[in-house]
Amino acid sequence: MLNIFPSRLLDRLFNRMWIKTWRDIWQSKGRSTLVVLSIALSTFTLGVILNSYAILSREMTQDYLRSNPTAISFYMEKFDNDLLDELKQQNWVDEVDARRLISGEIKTATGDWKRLLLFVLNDYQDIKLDKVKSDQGSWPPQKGQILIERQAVSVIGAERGISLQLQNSSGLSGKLTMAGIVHDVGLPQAEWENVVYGYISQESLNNLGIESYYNELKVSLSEQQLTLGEMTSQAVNTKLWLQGKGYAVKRYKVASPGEHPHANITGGMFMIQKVFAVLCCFLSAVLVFNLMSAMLSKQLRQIGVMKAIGGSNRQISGIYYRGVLLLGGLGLLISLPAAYLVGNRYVDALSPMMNFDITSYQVPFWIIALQILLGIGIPMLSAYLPIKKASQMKVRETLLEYSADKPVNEQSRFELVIFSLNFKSHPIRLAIRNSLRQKGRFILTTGVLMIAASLLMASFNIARTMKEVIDVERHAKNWAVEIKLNQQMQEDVLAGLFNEIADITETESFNRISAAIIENDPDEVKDNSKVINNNSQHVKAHKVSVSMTDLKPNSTMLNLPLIAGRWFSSNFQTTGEQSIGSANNEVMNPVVVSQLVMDHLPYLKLGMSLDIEMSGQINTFTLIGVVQNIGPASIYTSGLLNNRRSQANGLFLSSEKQSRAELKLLKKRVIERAEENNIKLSYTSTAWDGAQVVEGHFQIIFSLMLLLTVIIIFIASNGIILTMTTNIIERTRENGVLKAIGASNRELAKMILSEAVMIAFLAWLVACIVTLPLSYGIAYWLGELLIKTPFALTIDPFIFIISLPIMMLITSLASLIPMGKIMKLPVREALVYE
Amino acid sequence: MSNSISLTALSKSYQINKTLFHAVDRVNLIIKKGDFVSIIGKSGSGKSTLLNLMSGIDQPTSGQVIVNDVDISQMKSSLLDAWRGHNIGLVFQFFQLIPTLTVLENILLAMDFCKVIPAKDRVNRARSLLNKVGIIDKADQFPSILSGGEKQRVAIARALANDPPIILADEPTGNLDSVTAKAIFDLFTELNAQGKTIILVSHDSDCHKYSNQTIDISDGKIRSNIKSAEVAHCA
Repeated sequence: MLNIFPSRLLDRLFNRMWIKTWRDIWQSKGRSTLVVLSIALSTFTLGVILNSYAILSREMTQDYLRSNPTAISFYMEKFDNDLLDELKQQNWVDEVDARRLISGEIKTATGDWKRLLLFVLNDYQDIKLDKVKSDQGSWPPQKGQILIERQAVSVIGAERGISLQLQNSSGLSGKLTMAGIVHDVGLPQAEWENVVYGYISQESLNNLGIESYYNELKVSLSEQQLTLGEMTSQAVNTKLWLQGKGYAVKRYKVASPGEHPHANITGGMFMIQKVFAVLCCFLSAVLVFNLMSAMLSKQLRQIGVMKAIGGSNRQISGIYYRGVLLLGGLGLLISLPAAYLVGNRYVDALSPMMNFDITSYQVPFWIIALQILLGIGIPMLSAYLPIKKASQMKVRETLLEYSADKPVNEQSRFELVIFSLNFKSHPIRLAIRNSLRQKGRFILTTGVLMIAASLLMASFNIARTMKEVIDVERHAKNWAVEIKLNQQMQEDVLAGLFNEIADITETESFNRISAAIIENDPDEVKDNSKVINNNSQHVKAHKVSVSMTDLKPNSTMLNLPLIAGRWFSSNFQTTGEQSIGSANNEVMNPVVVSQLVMDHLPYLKLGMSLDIEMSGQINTFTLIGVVQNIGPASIYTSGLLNNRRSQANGLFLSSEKQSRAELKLLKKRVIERAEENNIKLSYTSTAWDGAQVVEGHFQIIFSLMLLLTVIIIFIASNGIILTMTTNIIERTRENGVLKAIGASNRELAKMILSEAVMIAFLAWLVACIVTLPLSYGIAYWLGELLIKTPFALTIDPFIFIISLPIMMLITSLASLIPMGKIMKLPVREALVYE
Repeated sequence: MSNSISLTALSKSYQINKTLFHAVDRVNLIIKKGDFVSIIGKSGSGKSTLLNLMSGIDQPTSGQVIVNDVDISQMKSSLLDAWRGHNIGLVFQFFQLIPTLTVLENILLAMDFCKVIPAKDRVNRARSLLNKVGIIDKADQFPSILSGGEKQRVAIARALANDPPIILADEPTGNLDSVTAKAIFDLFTELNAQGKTIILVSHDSDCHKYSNQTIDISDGKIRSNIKSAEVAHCA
């Protein structure tokens, strides 16, 4: 076997130390392959993640910057080109642009109505800010045409040339032909938001019966290097300037400088992947450590001989470091190109989801350098201790017969407990004692398997937690379908219209309006420069836009999980008429906010007063509770909009029906009923729709976690194969003796499997404990990332039970190869094995 | 003739189960350059320990080992290995060849370590040594397919790789049949005739026939130290 390397050729290429290194690796090629694969897999995982992250973050930012993103967007009542001309003259303004933003509904290919955000741009041929570019078909949109943002095409399910029906309560009504597909990089993901983005011309807007004007002002600043705080300050000044000119500004939005709106969540998602990748590297390091320890313990005599014939510590260490270098290099040879190719495909898969184009797959040099450094450096570091220990051993020690056994009086307490376990089967007793003979190796192997088991359990715990979050979201709604009108209607008329629909058991009206919480941080109010006198009220310029839902007193339609404080008092009895300024359980104008509001305004505390702007009026509320709600920042009041008490603009409809399909059907009937009665709905949703938005995110997270866990299990399995092989090879002579005194292959197999099962059991036992804080930490972090509040961890008991046989199966399978070898080895050869 | 090895009050003790065991006990010995010394004694008598102390493989508990005017008993372990490569050729009972290197490479490895022989001359010298010990035809074979005698010849060739003045051999014929053992002894005699100092530990009662000095060890102490003429006389 060894003759495949011609000596003369090698003589010319390498000296004898290189030859020895290479042949040592070749001689234990099975184990070396496992290590190469593990190094390759860990650097591959790290490479895929770093490569794709580098490409994604760069391309996402560049694609976003190519659109010339707006620094500040002002959402206003109405303005025209005169304002643009005047604002452009201001020295703090670099560029201005305007568009009309209309919300409504659009009918999909399946007949469903989807939420529509319709953009009417100032000049499609000369878009100054937030540039939209043509992807396919007609450009710019002609009269009677609508262009759909490319991510929204799947939402609407239509093709070019199809006529699409649009509507809203402000008079928008008619059909437009889908003539093209556009790319608007800065918008939230249409599929996840379940929204359709459309682009039409001013002429088309007029044809649809809507007056032509702008309501969204976009501004970029002449000073490019501003911080978010400085930009916010500039936004306040601009708003004041606009108000001074007589324009009404509803709200404004400041973009994080140079940062794509998805950058935060993308970074967060990659963080968890990076942690897994680092874990992979750690596990492969453990593997190299185990391999080197095993290999060196087998080579101690050779090390002694080399020293005896004049080899220095440095020269002998060099032989083994060369080995590690070769293993790392071989691993990198596999992983570097594979990581590049797979990373590119991963980017290809993710970029459509993030809605940006890739122009270059170039990976920064530092990432390749890092992979090389880790691929070589981690194995080198992990081999440092075993090599140092072996090369520094004295010649006499290495040449003496090396024994792993110690007198019983030197065993640790743990070993003594294990040794005293009185198994009836002597082979099993021996197997258990065998596993503890190389304690360091045993601890590392069990530790690696424990990490894999903990992650497996954590992945399923997180999946269970996310399912629970979706269930909570679903069950937070005691209604089946919710409709929102674009107009106020008499409550009884509204209820009467929908009560008669089949399967509707109950209805309850509500009022939902857009509102804004005026930021009033007590710590910042002292800074008078930031406080603006507006209509004799101290109003901080910054506002947080919220959706405000005023429920009927004692409404049971919402069952949102409380994070802090309380919901509206259940024993609060209303006469049916309550107005702003009245009390709910001794609290003036109580309000409950969603966790997203708390994320925007972290200074808020229970009992604190909130200034909320509604329809131009500012009212003061008292914060009584915080609830978890997936979706936009929301606030809830109970029976406060009493001046319109007899009127409502929304209706909850309850039903016995629960499934997604049933609710979808119910929603269709509700829409048909609204159409029959000429009622314009601004949107309609089922109780499942909110959950659906997060389900996609959760599926991706779970799939990623599971994929990474499988990789880690694979590396751990390699570790088990390596350890079991090493253990069995070391005991070849001993097994020969056992065979010689009558042990059958069956008995040997039983011993080896008992050892494997014991390792699996101990790893599982520790993993059951370790996985709890691990799962809790991941759930906490994911919750903060996705819904701005930690997820409450839900344990999946099934995975705890099932992971034990999984671990036992892995260790048993990993033992099969070495077990087969030892069983085939004749007793004579086993007895003379060195 | 000057001294090759000088041992003064040399002792080596081990602690075994709270009992102090003296493997070598206050040994004084002088071996001249060019001597062929055989050390004999029963198993556990301390002869191998004595050899290990001479080569610096083992460190004495007390006393002094001077080899070629260098006191190796005080030398650091890291320096000793390189020193040994230059000054002593070792031959072991179980040959101790590197199994993953060919016969030729085993010899070259010793030269690579010490760098005494210029790189360009190493292959020629290794082949010449193999020729000398009579196994040049096995140069490109791996040790696993060689016979015991052939392996020991390779080990001797390796011991000569860096041209050390002293060869220490620990039971070099212990694993060989009598015919092969004789051939190995003849090889040592030939080396001794070429000026090498040979110190040989052996059970083989015939070894004194080849050496010019025989040291009998028992319980770590030298019981007799007889020059060849005296041995012949005794016989």
